[in-house]
Amino acid sequence: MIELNKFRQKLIETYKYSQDRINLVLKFIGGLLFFFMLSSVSTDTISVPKKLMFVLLCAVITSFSSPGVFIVLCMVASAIFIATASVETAIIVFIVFFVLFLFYGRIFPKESLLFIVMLVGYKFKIPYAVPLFAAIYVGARSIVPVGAAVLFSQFEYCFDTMVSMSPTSGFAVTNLPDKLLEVFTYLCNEIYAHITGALFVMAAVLIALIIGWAISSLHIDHEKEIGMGIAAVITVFGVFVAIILGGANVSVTGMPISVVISVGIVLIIRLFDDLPDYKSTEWVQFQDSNYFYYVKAVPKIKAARNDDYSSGRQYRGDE
Amino acid sequence: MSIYIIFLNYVMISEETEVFYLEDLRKVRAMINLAIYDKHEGETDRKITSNYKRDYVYKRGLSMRLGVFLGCIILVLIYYAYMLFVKDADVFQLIGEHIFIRMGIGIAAVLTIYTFFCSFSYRREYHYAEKRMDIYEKRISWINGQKSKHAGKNHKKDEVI
Repeated sequence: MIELNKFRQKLIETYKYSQDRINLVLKFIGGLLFFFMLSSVSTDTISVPKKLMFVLLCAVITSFSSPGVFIVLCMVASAIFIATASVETAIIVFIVFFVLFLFYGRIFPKESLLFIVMLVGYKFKIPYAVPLFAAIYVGARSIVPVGAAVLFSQFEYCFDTMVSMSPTSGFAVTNLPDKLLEVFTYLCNEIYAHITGALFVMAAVLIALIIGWAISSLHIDHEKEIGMGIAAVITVFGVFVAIILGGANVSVTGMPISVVISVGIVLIIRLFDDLPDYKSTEWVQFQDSNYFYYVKAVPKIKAARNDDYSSGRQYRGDE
Repeated sequence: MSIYIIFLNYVMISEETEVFYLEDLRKVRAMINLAIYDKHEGETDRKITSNYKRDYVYKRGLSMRLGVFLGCIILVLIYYAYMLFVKDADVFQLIGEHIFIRMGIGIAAVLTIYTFFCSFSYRREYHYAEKRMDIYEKRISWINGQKSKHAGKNHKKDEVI
């Protein structure tokens, strides 16, 4: 355990020492993987080298850009890739993303990244890691992007049908209004038919997120772990209720497994955060001329150093 | 980090002038802090604090309201398209004074809610930027050996940085 703690500390120190460079590389790799995954929706109408060059260009822009620029880039790239399969579907998807951008993405660009991450999570069947992570580290601001991502994923199955209804191979500008209307009508009918189940699932996930955030904000021992556990349990039961009462389109067997794996992922992320040592908690009471102070001091777990000077004290910008 | 270790070794070697080098060390640490701040948040904070608080909140709010208004218009158009083409509603039922009044009230309500929540967010953003700039200027004054222009009767005595 001590060796693991030392290794963890070493990793954190290595990251903090070269934070800028590591962030640049991680953003590039993340952008590359994300846009490569996004390019899977496109058809063979654009050649593989052109597709790879576009993905590379997007990854390079991602590594140097702010969250707001990245979100706009995602919108444009998804529209371009989808347009290779179906122009009408691309227009509708772009309008949906644009409205989300106007209502939320412009105002809270960093929190909007949760929307994109959650869609990626759905692709890898571990979407619940995002609301569990957001409950602990982001808070109530994550309600909108998480809710929007849940709703979006509930109707993701319509995408294939929309593409088959209006493929790019049969595209003609004169037919655009009719095809667009046809696809729009199909989407509206599907939303109208299945909106109840989708709203149930969204409500279950958001309630779990809010309760998890509330518990992790309490001043108790292991508040984050308890908050995460309770949020996970509420997610499982809430989604089951959504399936039974709302007829939601969620896998009964896959969902609990996905939640368990998501909890594991968030716990691994938590390992790289400052961990409190609750066994060494101290309660202190003192006063000044205006206030009485009741302080609970919980030390952080740090690996012991042999010598402060020889090991090289880490300089932190906030000292 | 390497500058810090070099100075640390310098302090250990020169014992008789230790106090003098420790003072330099504190100034170097302060300068490093300032450089790190300049690199990450300094530019953004200068842009924010170059406006008065009210102006900053108003400008950000105006940009936000324009975007949200455009979003509401798009949603209204989508609703009209849904009613006309999917539900085959009568055009004249969708064009009426009461319909426009209801939509106007809805859009106004959305804008009010957004303005209410976002103004808190923008004010907090300005407050933190102003606080960081204050600390930045105090540290520069201390490095230059000047009295900070923010020192006053109500300010606590500056601690050694």
